[in-house]
Amino acid sequence: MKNFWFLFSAYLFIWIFIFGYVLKLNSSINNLKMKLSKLESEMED
Amino acid sequence: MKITALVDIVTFIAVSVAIYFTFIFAPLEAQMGSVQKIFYFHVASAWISFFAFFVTFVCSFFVLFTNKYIFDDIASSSAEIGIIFCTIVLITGPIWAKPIWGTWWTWDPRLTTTLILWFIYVGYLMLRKFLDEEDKKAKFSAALGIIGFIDVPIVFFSIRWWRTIHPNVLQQGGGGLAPDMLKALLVSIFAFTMLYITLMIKTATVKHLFRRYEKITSDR
Repeated sequence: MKNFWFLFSAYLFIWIFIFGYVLKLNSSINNLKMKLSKLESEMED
Repeated sequence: MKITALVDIVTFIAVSVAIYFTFIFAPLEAQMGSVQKIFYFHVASAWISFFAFFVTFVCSFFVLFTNKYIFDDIASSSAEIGIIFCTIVLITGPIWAKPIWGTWWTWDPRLTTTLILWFIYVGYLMLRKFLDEEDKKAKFSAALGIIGFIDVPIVFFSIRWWRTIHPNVLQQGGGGLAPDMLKALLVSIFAFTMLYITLMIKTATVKHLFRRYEKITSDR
C-alpha cells in the first residue's frame, strides 16, 4: 500500500494525543475525588 | 444510566463508525493513495479546534460581563481541548505533506496562521499558570481569549485571501470531493464533535472538583 507508513504514523499520533488526554483527565478526576472524600471524612471526625 | 456514561457510549460508537467510514467506506484517492485518508481526521480536528476556540471566545465575554467563574471554567477547558486538536492538526498536516509536497513544512499562509493560532492559545494557558489571583487570571485570560480568536477566521480564509498550496476541498461545489468521501468527512466531524463534548464534560468535572477542594481547604 502506497505511503502506508505515513497514514499509520498520522493515526498513531492522533490516538496517542486523544487517549493520553483522556487518561490524564480520568486520573485527575479520580485523584481529586479521593482527596475530597479524605478531606470530608476528616471534617466529619 | 448517567448522562455522562451515555455520552461516552455515543462517542465510542461514533468514533468507531468514523474509523469504518475512513478506512473501508471511503474510496481510495487515485493520485495520493492511502495517505489521503489522513484528511478525514485532520479536517475534523481542525473543525474541533476552531469550535473549541469559539466557545472560549463566547465564554470570555461572559467572564468579563458577569464575573461568574463557571464561564471561566468552560472557556479555559475549551481552550485546553482546542490546543490538543490544533496540535493534532499541526502533526498530521506535515505527515500528509511529506509524501505529497515533498516537504514536512512550508511557510504557507494556512500553515503559518495555524501555527500562530497554536502559539496564541498556548500563551493563554501559560498566562493562566503564571497568575495566582483568581480574578486576575479569569479577566486577563478572557481578554486573550477574545483577542486570540481573531486568528481563527484568518486561518479559515487564508486559502482564499492569499496564494497558497494548501488544498481547498471545502470550496463551493465540493472542490472535487467524491460523494462517499464527503460522507466519510461528515461522519468524522460528527464523531469528533461528540469527542469534544465528552472531553468538555471531563475537563469541566476536573475544574468543578478542584474548586470544591480549594473552597473546603480555604474554609478550614
